[in-house]
Amino acid sequence: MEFEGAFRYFPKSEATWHIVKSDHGIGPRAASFMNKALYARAQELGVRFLVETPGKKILMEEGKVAGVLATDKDGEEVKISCKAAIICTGGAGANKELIKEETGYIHGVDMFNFAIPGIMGDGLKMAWEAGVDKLPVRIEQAAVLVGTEELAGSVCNVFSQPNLLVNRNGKRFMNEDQMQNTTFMSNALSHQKDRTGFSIVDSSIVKYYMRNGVDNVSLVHPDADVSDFAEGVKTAQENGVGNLIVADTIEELAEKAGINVENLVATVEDYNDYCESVDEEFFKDRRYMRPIEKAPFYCARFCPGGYGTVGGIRINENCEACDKDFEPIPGLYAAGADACNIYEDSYMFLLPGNSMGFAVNTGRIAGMTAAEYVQE
Amino acid sequence: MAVITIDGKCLTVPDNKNILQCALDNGIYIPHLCHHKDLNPLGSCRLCIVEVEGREGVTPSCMLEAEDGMVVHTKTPEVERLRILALELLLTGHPEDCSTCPKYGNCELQQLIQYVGPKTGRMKMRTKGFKTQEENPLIIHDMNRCVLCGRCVRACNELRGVKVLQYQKKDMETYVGTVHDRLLKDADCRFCQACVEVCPTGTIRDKLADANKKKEDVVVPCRHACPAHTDIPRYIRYVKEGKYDEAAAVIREKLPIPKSLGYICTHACELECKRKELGEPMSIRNIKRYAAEHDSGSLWKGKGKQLPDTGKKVCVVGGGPCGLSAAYYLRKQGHAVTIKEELPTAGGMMAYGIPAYRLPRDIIAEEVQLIEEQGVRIETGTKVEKPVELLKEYDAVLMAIGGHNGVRLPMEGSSLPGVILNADFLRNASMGKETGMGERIIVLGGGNVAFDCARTAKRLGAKEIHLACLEAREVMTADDEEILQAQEEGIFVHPAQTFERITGEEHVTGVDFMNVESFTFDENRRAIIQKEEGSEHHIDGDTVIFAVGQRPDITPEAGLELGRANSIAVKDMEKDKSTSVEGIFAAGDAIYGTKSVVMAVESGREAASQIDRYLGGDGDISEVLAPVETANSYIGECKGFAYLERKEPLVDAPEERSDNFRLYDHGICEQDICAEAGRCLQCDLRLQISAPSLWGDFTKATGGAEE
Repeated sequence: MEFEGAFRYFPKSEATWHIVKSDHGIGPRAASFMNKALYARAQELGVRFLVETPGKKILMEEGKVAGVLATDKDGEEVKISCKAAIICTGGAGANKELIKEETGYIHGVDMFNFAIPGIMGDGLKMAWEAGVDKLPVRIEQAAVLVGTEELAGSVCNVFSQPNLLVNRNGKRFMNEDQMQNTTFMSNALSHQKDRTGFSIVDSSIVKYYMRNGVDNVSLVHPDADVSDFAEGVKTAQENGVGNLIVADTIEELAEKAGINVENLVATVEDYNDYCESVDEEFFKDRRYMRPIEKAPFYCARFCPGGYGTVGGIRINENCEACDKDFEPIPGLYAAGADACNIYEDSYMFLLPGNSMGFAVNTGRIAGMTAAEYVQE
Repeated sequence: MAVITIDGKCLTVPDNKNILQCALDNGIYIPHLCHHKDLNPLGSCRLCIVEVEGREGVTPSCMLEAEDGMVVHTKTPEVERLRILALELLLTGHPEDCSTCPKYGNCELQQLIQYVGPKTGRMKMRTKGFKTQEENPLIIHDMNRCVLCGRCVRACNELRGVKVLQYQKKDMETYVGTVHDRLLKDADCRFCQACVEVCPTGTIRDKLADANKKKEDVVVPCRHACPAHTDIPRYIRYVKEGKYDEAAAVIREKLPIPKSLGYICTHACELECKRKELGEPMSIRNIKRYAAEHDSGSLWKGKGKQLPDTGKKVCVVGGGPCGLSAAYYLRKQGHAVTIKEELPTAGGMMAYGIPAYRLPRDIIAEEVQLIEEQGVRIETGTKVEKPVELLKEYDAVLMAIGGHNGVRLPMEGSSLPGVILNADFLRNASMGKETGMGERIIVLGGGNVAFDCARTAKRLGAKEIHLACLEAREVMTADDEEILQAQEEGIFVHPAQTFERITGEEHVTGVDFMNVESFTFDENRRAIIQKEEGSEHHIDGDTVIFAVGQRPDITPEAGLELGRANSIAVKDMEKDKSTSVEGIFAAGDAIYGTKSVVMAVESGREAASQIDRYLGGDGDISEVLAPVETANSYIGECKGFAYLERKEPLVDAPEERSDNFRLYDHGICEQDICAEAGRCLQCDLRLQISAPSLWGDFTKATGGAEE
């Protein structure tokens, strides 16, 4: 497999995002080509894949790894004897209870992370049971528009542009130009009441975008064309989806959205003043200071999101799983999201691609170290 | 037969069979989406297109009938180009991101994308903008993900014949739904969930889906919840068709005492029945009772498994449901079995705990006799003090002594004259002996046994009966039915009470109570009770019956290691019932505490299998009694199906029943039984639907798909 190159995600980031070369240029599902290539090579080398066979327990003998217990498709127990075991089950993104316990966020209320079915933290539990030191399980956050899956791409695109962003109290809380860094945005949102913020545009802004395309694009959302925004909003309203608010006055908008009415009116007034001079609050680039004046007004809600959880298993530089005294447990290794303890709540978005980088490289290191260990 | 060639491989196939299925059946994968083995072909997705020599253009292979000499190519550049195009067009109206979809990892579309490799980004994507329909029970409709494969429409209309799902249009978008977008129950959906089963994407989903459980257990929860895993949907179907012999045969494949269970089973199945999402669950126990009572025995009397004599001898200590079941199956495996029962008749808790007004004694006697007719010897009035000595005469011993010693709570006044234990009280009442009860009874306990005591006391002529328990009303372990009927009979029920002391000097005069504010267990299973300040109160009485649990009647002198709560210790309660003495096994309440008759039956079955293996057999006690047939998948329309109400049994009025021990629950009547059985959703039909054919099923070795 090949890489297209190393790219920035948004202008202020470093070019560390390694995009895999696919058969259709830069676009979604690129990493699947890498996975396919790895899988094919693994099979060539004689790796045996047992699918639909979830692992349940690490078997220890005299403090060393002796095997793994799993159940097969029919629920029958499978015992695999081995000298080394590498845990890389991808975190616990689908486990709402674990997420609440570990992070305090409630999936579906103030956290909208990817929840791939089946990813329940089984690897974490197996490791902790085997005596590995438990580290905090975290979600490296990236802000997300609530209801994104139900809305047309252009609608999400418009609301992600750097216009007016307020909290429940009707006040601005960050320079909207930083919205492109969804980590910064998520971080800021986490500090607001209900961990939520509202992106507001008026019809002039919408009209401008529909005619000329949006301000900010990225490699993941490269299409600046939002000419079907109006249609998208209409469909969403009719079907009662996507949490969009459309109103004829700022007061109405605030009431419908649950924002402090008085404060929002004042904020919009101030903002419109700044549009004529300078943004005295956050010093946002003049280009993005567009007044909120013309009805109808549109509003969408943002909340913290993420890719699933990271962290939980203590490892050392060799990806050996360690106990609370930082001593490696013989034969036990961990890699990927399960072992990724380098973030608290914020993805290091200025170095995009680094959690994938962590996964790929810890996998490699764990494999190399484990191979040496079993040959001893 | 036709001889055809697909990708250079020569195949002999039936004439006119569609080429796609010919290929799939012979290890050749052709991508497909709208095609499903159990449904008529549609040819709409255009993914299965192939080139046929001698014909122009491409043809969908699902609609192409095999002809002798046909030569088919599935991978030409043109076919691949058009296939990718077809998939790309389909994907423009489908959510771009897989990672937020609940069907991730289980989606046929996702697998097709992996295999076919469409290039995203070439075409403009659109969101259909439908709101997910979650207001229906059991089934979710998320039409944003629909790829219009039409499988659900064909399944509903052609396979099942219920005809609820149709193609609908909203502006320019086509979707699948009910006429006038009615809720499923108002469109006469029968909730058979065939649509869920065939949907290749995350569009039509099972609300109860649980990735952490085995699919079968989630899809047919009644069968899974039954400790014996009786094939419930199958026998309900037979009852509906009036085939009571067949129904009874299905039940007997798993339970040797269907009539008794039909009267008193704790019906774990009903608590999991999916019909409860629409209203009331199925009245499964009463359906079982009806089948057992109208069974002529034609399918199993004198039939069924009976292996030749092995020459081995087994002694079963205890003739209750556990011992009887174990003995029955061990006998069928060919061993000589003797049951030694301490009491005057076999039946255990069924005959000496459960009162006669719930389970008539002649029913028990009838079912015990059938077990004797199989060749099991029952010695009644025989108590075994030293089980280890039995090994001199027998090759294996099973301790199935149940839990017949009532628990006396250590509290002030607990040994006063007038205090009786549950098991003693019920046993004496069953044998027609003097119970020692007075006129004003206070039963302490909130389970079914406590109610058996209270209602038995009523029938024996007690003047005033109070029942008090620690648990709040909503979490009392007794069946709601029992509590209601007891109250109808004039018994006073006091939930959420702590028992402070039993008052009296020479004899019981009553009980002091306090109200419970909250009652929980901590991680060490210790009770944490919060009492209400100043709520002390007293109830007068001359008799106190403890109904707070039972323990096995055994001491360490018997020579067996004992465990928690005086149970007989075994290596593994399910998989290895051997005790501390080789050759002696234990099962039923004696190993896990008081549970239910059906659990005891299953424990006896497991014990029989394990003992058989110990004695050199194969441990396979399964038998086939009912005809092996596939259920009819075409269930047809039924107006107002979701609104059909549960049929209730005929129950005698309180005035008629409270002063005697006659059976008062007469089960569901003849007029209603077919209707009740007809309410079943037939969840098991879902498992008859063929699994999809995925590219990963075809390995290189069979000359099929590449990676």
